[in-house]
Amino acid sequence: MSSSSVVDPERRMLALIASVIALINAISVIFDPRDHASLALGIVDGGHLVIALAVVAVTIRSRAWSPRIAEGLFILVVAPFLVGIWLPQSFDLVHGEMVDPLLAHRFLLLGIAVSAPSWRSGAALAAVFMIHAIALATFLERHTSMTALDREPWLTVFFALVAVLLLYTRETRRHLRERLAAAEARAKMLSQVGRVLLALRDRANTPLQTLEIGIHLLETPAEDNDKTLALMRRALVRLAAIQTTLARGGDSDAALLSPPDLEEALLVLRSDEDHAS
Amino acid sequence: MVLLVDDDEDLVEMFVVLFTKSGIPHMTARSLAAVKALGPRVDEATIAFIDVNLGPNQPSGVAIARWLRESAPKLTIYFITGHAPDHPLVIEARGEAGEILAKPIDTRKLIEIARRAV
Repeated sequence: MSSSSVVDPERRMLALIASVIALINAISVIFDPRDHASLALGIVDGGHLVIALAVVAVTIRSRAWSPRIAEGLFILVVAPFLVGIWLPQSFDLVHGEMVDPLLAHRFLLLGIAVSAPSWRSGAALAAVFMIHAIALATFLERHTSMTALDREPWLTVFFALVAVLLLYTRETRRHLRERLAAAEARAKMLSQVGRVLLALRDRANTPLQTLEIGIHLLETPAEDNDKTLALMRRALVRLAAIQTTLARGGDSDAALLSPPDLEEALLVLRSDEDHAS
Repeated sequence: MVLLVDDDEDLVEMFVVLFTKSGIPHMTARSLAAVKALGPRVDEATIAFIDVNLGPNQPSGVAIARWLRESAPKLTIYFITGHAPDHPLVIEARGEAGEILAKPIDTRKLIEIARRAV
């Protein structure tokens, strides 16, 4: 699929979200003491930083682009959070410093809702992170009892539902935009068809006028009709050129010619007429 | 005298043959520049048949009619056109004084109009 199959704003959105994820991980690697204390956490956040930067580079520079590639890159840049937000909570559990263990999930779910390149990828990731939140909450409840976990996982499940609702409204708007764009394209094409038909009407009526006068002249006795006949013959050739162009349009698979075909039809008409004269 | 203005060379030639055989004095032009180039002869015209659309990048027949009105106010003007009645140029022409004739026009009617004016 060509690069034009994904609209630029979506590509920019993916680059932006990957940049934000890269920034979050860079801050974690540099400033978060947990990343310094835990080698595994440092490696996960560092790896996630590299992946996010790679996604930014691919999103900006790649010539090959399609909705499927956009979905794949989005999943690639978000999926590492499955490990990246589990490990810090495990670390905090061990060190007894937990505050709101599913806060990251809630932010992530809303982030997915507003930035997923498609309904499919967004809903799938929202479902995965909701299950992840339930699993983490269950795991933490087995090892600790804190008031922040009393409302979990239901609060995060609620956020997941809100995220899915947001995704659904985005998808609905996207469908409407696509339908509007298609309707506008069709209106533009019909307008061009109308313009060409009007141009054809004018171009056909002029040689018809020549024939009308020519027939009148032939009906009148005269010594020399050669010039009249020559002019009538040229008028006939011009009408035949118009007929040929219309036949080309009728032979195409589409019921109506596409806009570039219409422009070409007019050029062919003029070219045929130049040859005829 | 009839003034015929049309950008189509073949049609102009056919009109010339028609007017010549019908004994109707005439002069022709294919653009506003050509009409202006006729100079004082334009004043001899009593009726003008003017094509509304004189091709791309050319002043329209309406522009010629406006120019003629200034130099020859008594001139009877007929617009001739192959365009649809709702074409912008035809609508513009309708705003001017003068009848609009749709191509192809019956030749007998053309001769009758021309003879009446000359």
